[in-house]
Amino acid sequence: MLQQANLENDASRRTNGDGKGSLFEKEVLSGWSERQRARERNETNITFGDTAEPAKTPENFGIVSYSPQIRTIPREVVLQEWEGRVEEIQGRLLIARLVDITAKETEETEQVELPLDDITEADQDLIQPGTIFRWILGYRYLYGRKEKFARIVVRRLPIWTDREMGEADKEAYELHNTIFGTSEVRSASGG
Amino acid sequence: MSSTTPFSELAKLGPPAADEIEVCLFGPSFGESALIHIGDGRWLVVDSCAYAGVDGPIALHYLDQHGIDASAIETVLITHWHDDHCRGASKLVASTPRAKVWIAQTLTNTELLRFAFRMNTNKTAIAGSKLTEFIQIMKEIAERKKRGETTFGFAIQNHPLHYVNGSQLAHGASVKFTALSPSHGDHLDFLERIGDLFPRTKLPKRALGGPSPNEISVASILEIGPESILLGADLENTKAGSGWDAVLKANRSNRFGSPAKIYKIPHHGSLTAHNTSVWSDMLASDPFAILTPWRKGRGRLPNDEGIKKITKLSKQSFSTSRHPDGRPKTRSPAVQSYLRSNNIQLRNLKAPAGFVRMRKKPGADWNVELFEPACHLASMLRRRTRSPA
Repeated sequence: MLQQANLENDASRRTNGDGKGSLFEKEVLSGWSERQRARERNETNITFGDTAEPAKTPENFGIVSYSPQIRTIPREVVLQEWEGRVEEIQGRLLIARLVDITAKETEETEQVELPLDDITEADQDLIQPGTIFRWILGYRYLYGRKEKFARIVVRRLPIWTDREMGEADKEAYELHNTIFGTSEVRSASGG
Repeated sequence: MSSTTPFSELAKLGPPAADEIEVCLFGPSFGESALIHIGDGRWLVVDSCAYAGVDGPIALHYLDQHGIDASAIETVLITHWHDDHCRGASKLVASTPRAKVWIAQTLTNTELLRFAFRMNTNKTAIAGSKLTEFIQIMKEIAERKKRGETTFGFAIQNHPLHYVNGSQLAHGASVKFTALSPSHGDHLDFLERIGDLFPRTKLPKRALGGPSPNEISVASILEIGPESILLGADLENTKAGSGWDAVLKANRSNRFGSPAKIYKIPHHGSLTAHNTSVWSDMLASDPFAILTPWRKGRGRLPNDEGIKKITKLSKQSFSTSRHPDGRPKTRSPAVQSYLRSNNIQLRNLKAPAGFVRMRKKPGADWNVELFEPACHLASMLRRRTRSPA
């Protein structure tokens, strides 16, 4: 059952994580669990000298049939996209510098004030000076309707690693030593 | 006073005469830069900025327009590391191998370098870490050291940056350029503050936030004979005994020079940089005041209150541009409609940039030229108070 528990965890994680369907849908898992339990019941019934015919393995054992489900995925047309860097937060407003990704720019050329309330509650906790986010404006087609949308996605950046910090420190020390010399060189030159 | 000569027509105006002092203030297309002719074709540059459509630092472009080689620059002072003061500075430093390069001593601290290199490992933001220019300057200084050229120095309060004996110059006046800041106290405070922002292993990456208080900015005074020019950099009044207060205390115990007739207003005319004691103790009565505007946070610099304070103390105050913002970009009607209906205003940071030029011949008064869209500071105030109506 350990394997199944892991699968269930994995399933819930994947389903919640990206919002999309997964091979390990709950319904599929519960069906698989039932079959597994039935098999275990049959196995425990087998005793020495038992002449009973062992239970037949279901033909579809191990094969999960996944009935294709038509999902309504909204089609989106992005009109404008920026990358933002939060400069400061004033009350319920964030002030950010923007790079115009749509115009293929690579430097910050604009500034905007955005209400914090436009950002999902989960992302609001991540907002601080230096936070990087994407701001996207566009059209969405859903159930035959066309509507405008604006989305602010706070980027969850990777962590700084030991290796990166070590290499950065090494570069900093090397540069410093090139300009000022190492302590040994300095003490030697001092007599 | 003349005005509105197009930047492209500069060459026709000609360079300053050998005995003429010239002060140019450029900005804010992106940044701020002052270029000063001390006499006999010898120049100093303070900070660097880039103009739209101009390749490289604007100070080099200006000299090039006059047919002057970059080797005429003898000293480059980078007042602090914010990208609105060092845009293109690494190219400026690389193009002037004979010039002595000065940066704040604080920026050479090992911990500060570790901070900059650590932040620079974050390659996730399109605009970069905002520290690339600073690191490039430091690398250029290291290259000079490797070549055995000690054409660099580290500025701290009271440190002499440049000196030329008057006998070497056509106007006969000696030139003395001195750093007024940062004080030793500010140096230590800054390093402590940086310690709190230090990138550490296992913490999520982030970019630099907004510019922090500018207590380590290198304000300076340039004396050319009886003429003094106070260059305020981005120095602010951070707390008692710090920033401008530290400069004033040092000036009271040992005057830095004669009262200045030209004041490069610090920190784009912000209220946090305005200090009435600087005006009374270090400036001549009714001096020339020049500044570059800038956008900071929700406001613009200088704001109306800042303009009023400056124009009250100087009748001859000028800005290199009317506005800190450029024209809003043209976008698809759908995007513009969304922004309008949600009352979201995008500010174009690439403001049209002009410059203010001041020239002085021995025995004559200062002559001020405004190159569009440079303007009288007071006219910015009038424009803004009228605009709502």
